[in-house]
Amino acid sequence: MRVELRLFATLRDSLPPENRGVERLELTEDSTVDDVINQLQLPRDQIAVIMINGKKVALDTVLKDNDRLGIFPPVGGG
Amino acid sequence: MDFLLRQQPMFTTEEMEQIANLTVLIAGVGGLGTHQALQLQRIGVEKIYLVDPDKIEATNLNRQILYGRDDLGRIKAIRAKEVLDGFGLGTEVVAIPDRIDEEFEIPVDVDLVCDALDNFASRYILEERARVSGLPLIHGGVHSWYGQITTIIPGMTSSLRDLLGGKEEGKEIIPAFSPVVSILASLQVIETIKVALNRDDILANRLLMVDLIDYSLTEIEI
Repeated sequence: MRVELRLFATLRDSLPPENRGVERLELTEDSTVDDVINQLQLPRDQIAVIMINGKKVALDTVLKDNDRLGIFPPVGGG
Repeated sequence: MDFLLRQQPMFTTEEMEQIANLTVLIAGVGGLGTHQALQLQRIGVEKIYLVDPDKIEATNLNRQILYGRDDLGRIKAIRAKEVLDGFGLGTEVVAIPDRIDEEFEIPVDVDLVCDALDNFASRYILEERARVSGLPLIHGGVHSWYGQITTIIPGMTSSLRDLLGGKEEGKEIIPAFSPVVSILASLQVIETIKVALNRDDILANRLLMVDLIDYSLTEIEI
């Protein structure tokens, strides 16, 4: 199945600059958000909010074909 | 108030009165806080509490727009009050040069709390103090080109701590750029007024992520 991943704010740097924070992933059925984080080796301490199709979800959420996955770090300066 | 003539058509008479009676506590008088204070005064709120024990440093001056070089070493809350009072726009400004800790008591006349802190450990304390007082908290945070904002209302939304899984920012120095800080602070002030006026489409149970690299606003339903 195909999933569009968008990494926000400082997490963008986990992908090549030309991706502009977006990666289209080919995943096996029943893959979870956690699997994506492992696969891309995203920095877990920088992951605060996970969203699928505009809604906040948990790490163990199973992805579906054509899901739009967004991952956000805490943005904490003032 | 004569100086509010141009914003008057946007609000009902009753709403203008609500704004004129509004008391806001700004927690932190740094980048977000100085911008918020200026905006809230221009909107004509009744009273602003400024809470910050810190002193002004040279590295603050790229974004903390109530201070200049001559103010280095002075207490932010007190200097900010002086500058705001100098505009003579009628808003009462109260400086509280204290840290927001577990013992901090939010004054009883506060209607709403604006988060202008620069770290999550303090924010989690602030949201607990706001919860104890039953007050809405307008959360905002910035990092380089990015920002986030949401409204926490006790009993109606999840807490900031739950929303972010208790996460905190990294240990490195957070890059801060005045125009980005200004936009986020302005969004917080808009949200403050909408929440105070019980307007629709507030950011309760919604987190808004602002990306000024690609000019996107992304909303997450919580």
